[in-house]
Amino acid sequence: MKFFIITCVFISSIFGADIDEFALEANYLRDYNSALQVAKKENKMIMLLVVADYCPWCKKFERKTLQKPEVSKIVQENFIPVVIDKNKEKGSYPKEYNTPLIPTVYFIDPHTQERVHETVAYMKKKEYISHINDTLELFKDKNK
Amino acid sequence: MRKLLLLIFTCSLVFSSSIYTLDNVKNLNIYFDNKSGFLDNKNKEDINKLITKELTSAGFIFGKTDAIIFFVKVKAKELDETYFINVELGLAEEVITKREGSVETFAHTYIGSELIESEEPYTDTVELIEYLLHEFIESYKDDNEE
Repeated sequence: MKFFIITCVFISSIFGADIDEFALEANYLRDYNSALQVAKKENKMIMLLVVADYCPWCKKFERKTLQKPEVSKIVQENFIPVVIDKNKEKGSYPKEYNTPLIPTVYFIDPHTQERVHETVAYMKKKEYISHINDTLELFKDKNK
Repeated sequence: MRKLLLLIFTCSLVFSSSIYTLDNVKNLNIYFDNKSGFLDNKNKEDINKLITKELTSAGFIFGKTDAIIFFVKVKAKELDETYFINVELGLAEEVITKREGSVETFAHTYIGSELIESEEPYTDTVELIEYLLHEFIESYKDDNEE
């Protein structure tokens, strides 16, 4: 299994240097299946960030929202974040999360792999944190 | 023309974010490039004053050395007494790229551009510059608010 995860990380690291750089700096995983395993173990939702290396709105969202300490803290505490390139990593994540709109964030229940909530497009810190809080409430209700 | 610009301007206020990141833009120097064929020196001076006034009241500072270039380019073609006018407005500055060796280059870090058709070229050009200017200021405010 370890070998599989290392292989996946290696393959994904060949693509999209900027995405890798973001993942490293913001502590996001680069492989959906690895994230799924960790999320199941820790009973946390997966936060799947779908981007593309040519997308300026994605870069702005990463830089100005996701990398801000207040957002980063709440994400790391409550989710298993993973970032994928929608084109280059097609096939390495469930088909239903292959969206034409980017950046999109899917909050996924690790046990069912169903989406709990999603956000589309660039948004600012406050708005994104509000979406995160809504998602956590939804997940809590779902697991009552 | 005025109504159309007003409508576009209103919409732009609702969606004020731009793909560019305008954090900490402060010191500016204006560069005006006139390839219109209808703006004389007096018009140019008036437009420069208008831009300086708008940007100063938005909090930008002028006159510092090595400031970011705030460029405004006006190009036009005349055909059967109608002008086709392109106004481009933006920022240009030295940046460090992510290329090997962190190469430095002069780059455009904001661009707003519109093309219009006009029979009153001066008035419409001024309105278009005002519109692009407000769009820039709104994006700047959006990026710099907490």
